[in-house]
Amino acid sequence: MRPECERYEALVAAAEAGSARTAEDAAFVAAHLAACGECAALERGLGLLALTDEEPAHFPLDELATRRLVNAVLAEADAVEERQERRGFRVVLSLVAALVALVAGGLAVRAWRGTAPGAGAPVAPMAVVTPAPEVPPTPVVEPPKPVEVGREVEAQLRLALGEKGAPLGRGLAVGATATAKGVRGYAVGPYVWLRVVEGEVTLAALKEKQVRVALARGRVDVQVAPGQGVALEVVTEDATVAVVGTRFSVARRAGGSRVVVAHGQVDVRTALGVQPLGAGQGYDVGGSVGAATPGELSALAELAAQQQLSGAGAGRLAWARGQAASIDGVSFDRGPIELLLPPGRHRVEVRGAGKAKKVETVTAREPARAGGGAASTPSGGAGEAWLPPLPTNAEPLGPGAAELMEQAQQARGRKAWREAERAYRAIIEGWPSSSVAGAALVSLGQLEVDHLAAPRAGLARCEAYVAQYPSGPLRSEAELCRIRAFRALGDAASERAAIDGFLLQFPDDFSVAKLKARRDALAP
Amino acid sequence: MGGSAASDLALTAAAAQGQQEARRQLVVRLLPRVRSTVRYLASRSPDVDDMTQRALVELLGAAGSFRGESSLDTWADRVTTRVVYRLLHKRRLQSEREEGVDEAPEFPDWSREPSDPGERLHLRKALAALLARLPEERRVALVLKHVHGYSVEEIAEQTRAPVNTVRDRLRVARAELRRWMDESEERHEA
Repeated sequence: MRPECERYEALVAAAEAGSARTAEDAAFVAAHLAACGECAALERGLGLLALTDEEPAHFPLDELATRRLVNAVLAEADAVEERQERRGFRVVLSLVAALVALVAGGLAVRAWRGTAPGAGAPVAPMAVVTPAPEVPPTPVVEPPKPVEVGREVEAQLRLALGEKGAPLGRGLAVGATATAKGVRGYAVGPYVWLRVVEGEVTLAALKEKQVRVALARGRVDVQVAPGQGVALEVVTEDATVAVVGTRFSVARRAGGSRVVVAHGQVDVRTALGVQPLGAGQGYDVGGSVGAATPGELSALAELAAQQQLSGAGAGRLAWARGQAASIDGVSFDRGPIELLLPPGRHRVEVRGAGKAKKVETVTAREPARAGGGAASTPSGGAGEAWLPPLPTNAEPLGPGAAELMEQAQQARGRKAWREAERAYRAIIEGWPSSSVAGAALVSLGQLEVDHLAAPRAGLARCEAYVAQYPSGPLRSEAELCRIRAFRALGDAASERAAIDGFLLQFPDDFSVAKLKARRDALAP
Repeated sequence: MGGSAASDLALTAAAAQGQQEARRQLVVRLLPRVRSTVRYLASRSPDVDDMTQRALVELLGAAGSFRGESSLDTWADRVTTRVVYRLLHKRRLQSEREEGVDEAPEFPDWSREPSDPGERLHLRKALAALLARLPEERRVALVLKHVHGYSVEEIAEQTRAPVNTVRDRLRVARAELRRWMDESEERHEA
């Protein structure tokens, strides 16, 4: 270090220690900074580190990454508080138990001491001091962690309804697309029971015990046997519901997807983050979590019983279109339905389609051969692969809107703006009325304003969002995008008006201070 | 970016009472600053989001302790620094090697004032990479001084080190930064 720089550093250190600077030293410092590139560069660099109100974010995240992080923080904070409450409850219980033991012991001792032995008097028996019974701690039940479902599609199964005749295969068929016009029940191997209430469903088996169900529209109710390591994913255009061992339904309608959980836990992954759902909860994607309705829960309640009677391997039972059946007192829906009964004797009632109720006892044996009634060809027993052979012309499922949103997010992280733009456009064009399209509209608008030098296009997109989703969750982001677009276009009057509008609508937003300063700077 | 002192107090009080919207607003309000602090303090970028999340969770848990005696930013800085310091110390105890230090952006130009946000981001990334080369105590002292603007005495209190030790750490840290910036400037000119 040169002597002048050493003197400069010494004066800086002295100032930090509280020493007053003489006029001569102050003049030296100013002159040295003007002349010495190295010292000036150091001070410039250190100055860049300062966090200010104008620039609190030195390494900004984009909107979606911010939302994901915010959601993750809130979820973890809730979990921490819940654990603390349970711990606190156990501590209180232990303290109460200890206190009771102390009091009981004290009372027993007092009872014993209350009788003193005297000459000739009978000796009082010693009281037995027994501690209060221990209160067992409340067990902490951790929800099951969702299993990451692999992306490779090894096989694709499609449901056959048997509109043209008998169902194909062992409970599920290969190579046909199901379009349900009523309730249809299907066993996907021994551990998964699906009921397609309405709409269109396509099944993909990624690996053994890993199943993906793509729901374009309608509703599917799902029961996955717990403890068998089966991972199932239901994918709609705006959500992916991942589950291990639980019972839930997913409905996809014009306004978006709704997920209801009757038992267990699922994780719903959407463009806005991950929403865990527990038993008794319902979630409208893009909206809020609330309680499931009694009707929704009761519709799922029978699934557990149905699943235990389905796909367990031994005997096949089927009933035709228009017929309904109950097995061992468990009701099933109108057919055509086919399932595999577990070994044993079963009381089967089949009714409907103008025919009288038929009751019979069906015995399913190993090796599987369904008896009597409506049974058809025998099925394989234990030891067979639970998935039929693969069709050679199966097409893999394309990326859904949620996956495209993730691709766009990753592209933005790499500053691959055009790639992100293409993903957003694909979402808007492919799923125009979905909530994901709304998020893509705002994200694309921001991209156009901030990175693609297309403020007019960005302005149009954000205004389109405001028009289509006046109460949407991204309204404030869309309005901020408009403000930045007007600024980029040099339209000070519109920018000021947009700021005024924002401040009226979102007076508590964290951007308020910054916007007020900008509005003041734009004063006519 | 700060609100008024009264609104900050109301926000933290509401968050402490468990009001979900207040909790969300508090997290959104503090996230940029917390993340910037963590980025400068943590030497490995894979840790940044995890540490940011943990700091924000701790801030939510401590929301009831904010009394408005300092600004909300100052309060958040203290909690964040404490969390990161603790996590870094834990990492050291677990003998995790300091691998994967971030690559510095190539050829940062220190010779002039950056003219736009992109250039400022570029230089800040370069600074973060240089800070990562500093030993932890010097890095923490420098960040507290120049990122958050604390005095030497305040840094000594936060890091539980003598005042003279903090002065020494700052002096040596400045010298090391100066040397590395000179070296990168020479590469830039070359």
